[in-house]
Amino acid sequence: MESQYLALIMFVVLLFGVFTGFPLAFVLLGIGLIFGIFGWGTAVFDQMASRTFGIMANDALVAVPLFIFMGYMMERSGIADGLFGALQEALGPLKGSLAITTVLLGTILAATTGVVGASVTMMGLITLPPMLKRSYDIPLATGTVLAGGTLGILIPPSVMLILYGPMAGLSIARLFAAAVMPGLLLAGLYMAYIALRCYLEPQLGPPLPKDQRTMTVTRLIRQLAVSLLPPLILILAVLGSIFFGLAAPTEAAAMGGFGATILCAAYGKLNWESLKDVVYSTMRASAMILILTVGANVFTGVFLALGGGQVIESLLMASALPPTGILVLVMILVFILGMFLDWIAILLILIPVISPIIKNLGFDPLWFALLVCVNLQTSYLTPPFAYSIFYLKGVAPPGVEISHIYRGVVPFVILQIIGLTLCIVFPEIITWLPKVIYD
Amino acid sequence: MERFIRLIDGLSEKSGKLSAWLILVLTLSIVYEVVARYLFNAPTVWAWDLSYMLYGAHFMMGAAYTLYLKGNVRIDVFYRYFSPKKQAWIDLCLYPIFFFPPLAILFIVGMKHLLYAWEIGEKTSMTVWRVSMVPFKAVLPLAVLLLLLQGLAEFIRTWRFVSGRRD
Repeated sequence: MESQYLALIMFVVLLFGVFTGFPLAFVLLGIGLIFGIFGWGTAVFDQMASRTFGIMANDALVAVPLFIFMGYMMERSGIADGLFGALQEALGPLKGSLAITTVLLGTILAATTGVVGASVTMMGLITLPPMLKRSYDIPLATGTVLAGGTLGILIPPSVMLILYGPMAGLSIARLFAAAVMPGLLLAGLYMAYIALRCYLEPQLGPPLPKDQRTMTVTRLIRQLAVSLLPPLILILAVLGSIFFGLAAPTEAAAMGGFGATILCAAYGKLNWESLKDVVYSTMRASAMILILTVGANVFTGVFLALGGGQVIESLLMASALPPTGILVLVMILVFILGMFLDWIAILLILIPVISPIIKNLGFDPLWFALLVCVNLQTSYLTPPFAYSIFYLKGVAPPGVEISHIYRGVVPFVILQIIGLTLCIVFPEIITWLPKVIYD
Repeated sequence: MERFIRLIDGLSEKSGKLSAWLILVLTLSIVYEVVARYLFNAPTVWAWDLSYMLYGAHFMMGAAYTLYLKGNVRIDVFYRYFSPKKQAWIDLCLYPIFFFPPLAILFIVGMKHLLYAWEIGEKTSMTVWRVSMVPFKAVLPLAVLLLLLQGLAEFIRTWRFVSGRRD
């Protein structure tokens, strides 16, 4: 019991430590060490080193830098520009077409990358100027870019799911399969909402005037084929080989990165400068994520060994709610944490603690994993603190105020909550595809 | 002192940028394995062990460089609204608590494990490729040492900023 008090204090100290703003990886490492010493004396030193070494030698996490590399390489290939041009012509006559195109672009790009910061910046640069030029409603335009751009962390391949797998003992391939439908559901909700809003209030998103749709049908088809088919084939090959068990996620990631490099060369965008840029960007993103993973792994290891899991469990049980009530409570907790914390932090700290509890309550761990991941999408959009909003403000043309962006994300956050609710009420949205493939 | 800081910055940048290229080695070695297995039915014995070793070295050797670039995740809900001076004070107070002690211990224990692996001639044991673990075991203390040095450089830089000596 005494060690459980220690765990409780540890949790409170963490809350304080997190908000000091000191690099989170070291806050976690430091708190882990201090409380480890209280618990076991110097025996914790060896523990700390073994846990660090465990992350360094984790064969599932090898896929993290590989998919990041693939994403940056795809970004460098410049497919997004061509794709946007072709899609906007194809959908031109629709009201709100540019916004719908933006969501489509986000969905496709999401399937080529697993990191979100990059794609929001890129989408902002490509899609925001044309929308503003056609006098789209600024909140609608910015909200669309953000919602479309954040699909990247959910739609596989997704770094979030790769990190989740080893923590909860779930197969990454199954997680990928389970994420497909929820990802498409969210994309569909976004597009339906935009279409409806713009149908009711056409001044929000006017269609592309006829004289600006200059491509002939053959040229349009050619451009769509050139810009859409190669990345689509690549991504189907990567995901397909994972789903059908032909390759481990790590192998598929390496092949995908290799394919993306060839694609980049084929589009004439591969040179010494771009290669250097991709390699260094990959290093920065990987080190950021994985060093935080080391810190979180040391922290949660000590926390759980002190009996912190039981403390959280008894706190949840004390609410006297039925299992579904506890599930909803956890979801609300994740949502609120998402307003303040980065998704990686929430994932790495919360999941090792909470997923055994959820399993004890009799819920399907795979289903719960995807609920968390859909929920974590909101952490990118919910003020007061959302990375995407800052990323987008950084690249937005003059005239776009931060208040526009804040207003713009509200409907999309509501759509995400609707999506999450649908996944809770109809678990088949998540469980259907993995069942079809694996059972 | 300025020369010391610049020396450490340069060391972190060089080591980080150098190990960044491991991603290409990692990608190509796995591609080689997949091709060898599927096209030539001749899987390698080394690909699996090599992959996690390259991955582990890739991100750990980038730790010092990431710190130099200020690339670590900070939950800056409050921090971002503080004045630069206040931020500097927070960092000065917290480096000795959260940064130096755990990393110093990681370095010492990492060295101990390295020497042990060296003494018994430790080899990989999960596959038939029985290669020495010594180089991989050396990554942890080496990367942590670089990170500690960079932390020291950051600490001194922050200290100089607070005491009014701008860089």
